[in-house]
Amino acid sequence: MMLGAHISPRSRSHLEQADVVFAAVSDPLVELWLREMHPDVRSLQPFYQEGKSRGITYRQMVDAILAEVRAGKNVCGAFYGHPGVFAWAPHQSIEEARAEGYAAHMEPGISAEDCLYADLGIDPGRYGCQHYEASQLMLYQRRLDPSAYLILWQVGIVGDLSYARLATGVGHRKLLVELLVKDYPPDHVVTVYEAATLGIGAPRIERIALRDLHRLTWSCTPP
Amino acid sequence: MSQIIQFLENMGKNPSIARLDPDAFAASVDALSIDSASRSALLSKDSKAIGRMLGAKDRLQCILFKPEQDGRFQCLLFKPEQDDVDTAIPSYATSADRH
Repeated sequence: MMLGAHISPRSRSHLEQADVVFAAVSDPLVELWLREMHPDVRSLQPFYQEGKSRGITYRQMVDAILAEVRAGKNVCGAFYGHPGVFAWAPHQSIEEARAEGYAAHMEPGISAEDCLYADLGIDPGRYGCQHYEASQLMLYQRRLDPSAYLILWQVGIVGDLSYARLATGVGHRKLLVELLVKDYPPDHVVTVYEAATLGIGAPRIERIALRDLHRLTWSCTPP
Repeated sequence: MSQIIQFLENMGKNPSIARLDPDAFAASVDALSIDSASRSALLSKDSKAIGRMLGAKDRLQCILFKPEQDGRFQCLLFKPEQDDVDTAIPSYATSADRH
């Protein structure tokens, strides 16, 4: 997640040796850093548009990557965190490339989840740990186990059924609270967490009562 | 590689730089051949100002996933037209309302 810190030697080699690099990163300065590592870095950011379904955006990302693969290029996709964690396009790109007979593989990365365990000092093995994309938890019939950790991802867009919004609002997050208070008391302390992306920054760690949950982008709920 | 990006890369690799006292950190920044505005942005650890000076994008979207709707799980609550309502808070469907 952090510029200069969380890229493995193998990943850096792939990036530097590729003919073309597609990038979806978590900080504008990280994108510049990649551009200084390789002369042909193509940002995947232009595919995002307010009002356009992310399903289309992700499909276009895969198509852009596969077009260069089919052109015979050695292609590297550089995605923030772990490219296989809560990330559709990397998995899909590899699957489709392999199906067409191309060699493709994924290198593991250091995800926000990994940073969370380090920064918050929690071990998922201690009580067990549940991960849900926040909308998936809210919209579909999933069961929570309050005796284990609960980590919710993408809370900033929770409840967006259109998948076309780049953020949702207080009302949507209150709906999430409405769901969570069925399993947790309203004063249950939750942690809002965002990993640091630069060495000059710090992770966002805020602890608030569940009932006050209104500006979450990521949360970890203890047992 | 630009000196500022190189400096940020070194900070990522070497956490002791971030732990330097203010004078020592300023000395490490002063060792770079950069203009005063860049120096000021680095000293104040202002990533947005650094990004502006280097021509970085204002903001990035960091969303790479949407939950599957492949029929294995049924949607429990509100209809799509209610999705745009940020301030009005529709209630959860009761189990009897679920479809």
